[in-house]
Amino acid sequence: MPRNPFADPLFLPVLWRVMLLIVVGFAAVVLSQRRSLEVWRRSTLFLRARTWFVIGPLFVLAVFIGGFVAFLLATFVVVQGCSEFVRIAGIGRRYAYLLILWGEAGLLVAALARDFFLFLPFGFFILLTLVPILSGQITDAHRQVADTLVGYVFVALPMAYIVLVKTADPLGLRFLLIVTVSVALSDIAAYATGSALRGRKLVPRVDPTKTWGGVLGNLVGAAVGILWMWVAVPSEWSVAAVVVLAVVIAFGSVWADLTGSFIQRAFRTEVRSTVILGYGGVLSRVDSLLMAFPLSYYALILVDKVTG
Amino acid sequence: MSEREQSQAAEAGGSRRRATVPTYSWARTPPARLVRSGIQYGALVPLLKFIAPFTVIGKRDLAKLKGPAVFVANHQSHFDAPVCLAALGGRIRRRLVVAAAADYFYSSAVKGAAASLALGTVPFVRSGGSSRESLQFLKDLAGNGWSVLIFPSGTRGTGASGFKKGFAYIAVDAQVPVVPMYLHGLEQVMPKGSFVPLPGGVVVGVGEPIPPGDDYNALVRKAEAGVAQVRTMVKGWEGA
Repeated sequence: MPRNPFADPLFLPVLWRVMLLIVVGFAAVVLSQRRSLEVWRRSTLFLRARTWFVIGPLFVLAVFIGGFVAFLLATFVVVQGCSEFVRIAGIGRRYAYLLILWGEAGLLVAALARDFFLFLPFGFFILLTLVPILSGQITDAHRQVADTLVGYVFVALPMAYIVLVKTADPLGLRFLLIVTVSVALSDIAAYATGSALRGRKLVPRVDPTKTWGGVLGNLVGAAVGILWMWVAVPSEWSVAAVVVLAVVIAFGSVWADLTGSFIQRAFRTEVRSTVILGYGGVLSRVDSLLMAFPLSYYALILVDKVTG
Repeated sequence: MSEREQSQAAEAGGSRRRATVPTYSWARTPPARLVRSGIQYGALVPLLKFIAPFTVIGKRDLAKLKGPAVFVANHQSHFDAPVCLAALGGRIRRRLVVAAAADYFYSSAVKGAAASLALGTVPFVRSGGSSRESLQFLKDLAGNGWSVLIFPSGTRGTGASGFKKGFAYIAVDAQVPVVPMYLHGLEQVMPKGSFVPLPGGVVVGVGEPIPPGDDYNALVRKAEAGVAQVRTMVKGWEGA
């Protein structure tokens, strides 16, 4: 059920932190560009800054309100993200529809029928294999099934996982807020330090732009993100847990970048979309979060078990 | 007798027989246009931005248009007309009709009325004796300050060449420029034969207005070349 966000004592502190972060980022970009206002207004960076002013508060509002509002946001990510993957991978329309529908079903299962969550990947595999079985079209079917499964594990399943953790874990909302802000800062810091420090390429054959300097930025950004969102960090978390969280979020962001790059290179396609003004597609915006979220959640559980 | 004179003579005969094809004139009255504006701004454009988020290239050329024009584009999907409307912007959309296949969109009164109200379509008979009547009606609209959006290949999925002459008759006889457009990506969103769209980015290229001149065939060739040029521009942007 949707909730009144103002009833949650965490809402306003989180909202103003997110807004302040966007304002500071915006000011930093304006100062670093040193362009005239007219040139700046027409630049991509301006569009991006404008986009952040919209999606930042919208995200905070949606996750605090929860219910169908958060569901709509998750639906948007699943539909757009899966569609972009479909285009990149050249997946056939039948498989594509199943990917989107099962992605949507996964969100409902995660929110309303958690006991069936583990069935989702296997159920999707069964569903996909029914396409060649029932249609009799087996040429290239194994590749279509495999590519669609990759899309599911890359986009739809992690999104369902986020919904599951947010609804099932009492600290799920806090965890989501911390990881989202940290991932965003990690990506921005990686871009900034990567451009400034450069350094050795990380894996030039996969992503010629990613450098070790950028990885350092990922780490610093993730740590600053957690500190910035300290108001949401549960008191039960140990220092070791927070340190591990920063490292794992940074690792998840780098991993997502490289995975996105190798997928685009493997399929020799780049998606051009304008659904997010100034950025383009949804997938490149959320892939870090989708990969870092499950990874960091299990890392925290592991740290909790090890440290008792 | 030149081709233009023959066309005008045939028109004279056609106008006497007018009214066998319904004109849906109520859809161009101020109240209907107001409702259409509401539908387009409130529902159509936001929905398209979700299903087929589009980028418009060459929109600056539209600023050169001071009066009505005939917009011609390649045809690949049922989403072509709505995306063109959204891409052209409110200023042009306000007085623009879309030539829609009468046998498809006007096969039932409800379907036709809905299309006329929401998209500003007018029935266009693609073949047979009534097609001349449809052309004359569009010429009259262009002469009265209405722009016309038409897909001159006639049907979906036929590429950006082999244009039929109808649009040239409208442009030359009403003396309005032709604006070439190229739509890229909609063949993946909802190709012919598909009824459920698959969201994805779309690029709409707009070319420079082409003066009508007085030669129908020359205008067809110029429009085909114009659309091909816009296609090159769009592909260049895609590859950038």
